[in-house]
Amino acid sequence: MNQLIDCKALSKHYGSTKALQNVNLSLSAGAPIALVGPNGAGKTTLLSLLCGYIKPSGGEVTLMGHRAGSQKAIQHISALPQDASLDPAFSIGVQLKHYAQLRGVNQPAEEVRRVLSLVQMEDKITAKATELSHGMRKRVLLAQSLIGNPRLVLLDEPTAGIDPPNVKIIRDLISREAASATFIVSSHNLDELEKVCTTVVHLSAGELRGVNAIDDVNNDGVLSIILRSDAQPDEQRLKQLEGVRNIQLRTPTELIVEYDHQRFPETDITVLRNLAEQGVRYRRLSKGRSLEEQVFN
Amino acid sequence: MDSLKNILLIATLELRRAFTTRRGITVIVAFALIWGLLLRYGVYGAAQWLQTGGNAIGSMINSGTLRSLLNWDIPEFAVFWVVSLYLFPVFCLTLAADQTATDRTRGTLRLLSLHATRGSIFLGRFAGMLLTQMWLLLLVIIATLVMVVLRDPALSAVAIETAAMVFVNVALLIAAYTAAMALISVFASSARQATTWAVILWIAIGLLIFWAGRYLPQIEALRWILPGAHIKHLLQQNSWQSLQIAFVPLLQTIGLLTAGYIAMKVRDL
Repeated sequence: MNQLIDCKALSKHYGSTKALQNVNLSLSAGAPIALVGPNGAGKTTLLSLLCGYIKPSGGEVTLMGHRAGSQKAIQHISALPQDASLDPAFSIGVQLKHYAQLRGVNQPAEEVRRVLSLVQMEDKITAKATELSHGMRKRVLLAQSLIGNPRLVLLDEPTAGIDPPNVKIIRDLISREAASATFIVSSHNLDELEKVCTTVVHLSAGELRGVNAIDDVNNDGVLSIILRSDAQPDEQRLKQLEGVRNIQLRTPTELIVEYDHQRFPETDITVLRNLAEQGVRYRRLSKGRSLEEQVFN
Repeated sequence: MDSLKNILLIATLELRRAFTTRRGITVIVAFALIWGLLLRYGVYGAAQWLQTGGNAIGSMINSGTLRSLLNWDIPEFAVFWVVSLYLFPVFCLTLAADQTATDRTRGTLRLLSLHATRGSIFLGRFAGMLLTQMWLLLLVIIATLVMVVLRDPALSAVAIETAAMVFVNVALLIAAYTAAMALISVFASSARQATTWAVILWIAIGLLIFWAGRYLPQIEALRWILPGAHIKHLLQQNSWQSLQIAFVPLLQTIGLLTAGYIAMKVRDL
């Protein structure tokens, strides 16, 4: 059975606040899935329902055919919940071993060393959570979510508030482990999601806006150029180029070029040549819209 | 069905928390100091009094409890009996208050619930707390036993039997209190809040039953739902006959655990 998640008319209300409304969603096993949306979109609520932390106000949610939160469901899933903390009374090693034993892992001590090595934290096995930085604690919690090789791993804001080196470690790990488990990653860091995920689940105001494969989005005819900070392109000159439909300087350093790629497929080359003539230098170039552009514009 | 193996694993970790972590050891040291003082100056002193002048005074005072204490073969256990029946429930209100409350607030329960069912967590924490208190009870009973044997080695056999009777009865009593704290802890957000709620609930429910009982005497029977309701009956006992009312704490424990188990299953984490 390939289907991992099945939500039917799923709703969750907190008093008069409708955190999720009538969400119908089916997701299959495969490459990492991004869960995106602005604050209050219902991302954490959806993940909490999938983990069985909260009960739906309406509809139903099953994981691999089992009711969310049931013993059969938790055997196959794991998660990094937002704002969850380890017990400060015990060392990381003691707690992860306890979790491995509860999961029925055959050699729990070895399993703890394995998952800690995945997040490059094996030297902290005797440390307590309170002795670690925020980024290290996140990595330990990520290690916790990999105990027992779950089929589905739900990560709620795994990179929130942590520094770039820790973000890279987490991102690399998700990419590497994606072969053995399906990851669903909720984050505001859309650049990071774009690097590891292939499918996007878009929520907004508690409603499902769409489920799209990143590669399926029509990215032809759009060029995203990250300029150097001292660059000052002449937008009017660019707009006059043959095939260019629109020029937008989204931020002082992010230039979006829209062009008619069917009639003038060489326009991207023309634009870059023109920028070179203007003496405008750029740092990064990508074809198509960024995930952030796709989701929020 | 919640795995018995997981319940034992969780209970074992709670024992480890009580006896190996800094916070747990601090609590045990405080407990040992209080009981050390109680045994030396309370139990030992009162036992001396019961042995010497207690009979004469007891015959003058019209107190059923005092008269029943004078009937004990071993005065040390007579005093220990009274003290433990009142003090262990009080200790329980604090020792067993934090079964799930802090972990829920901190989010640790969310992590734990990814690896074990909520039922296993609830029952495992209860079992761990109860076992911790039973160990502490056993230690102070052994200390009392040593006091008795040092005074009169000939009392050893009787003292051991009495100690066993006291242990079983007090263990049943604290099982009911621990189950009540397990239920309250499901709704509280901290150990302190759980203890405060427990005190308020006990007093409020007790007063409510007393007040309602004045108008409708049948309601008085509801006081049996509260843990500790059978203490005054236990005070009249000094033998295994005390187990005749053991069904009271047993039923209370089962009832409170069932309510807590259901609450744990349905409550948001």
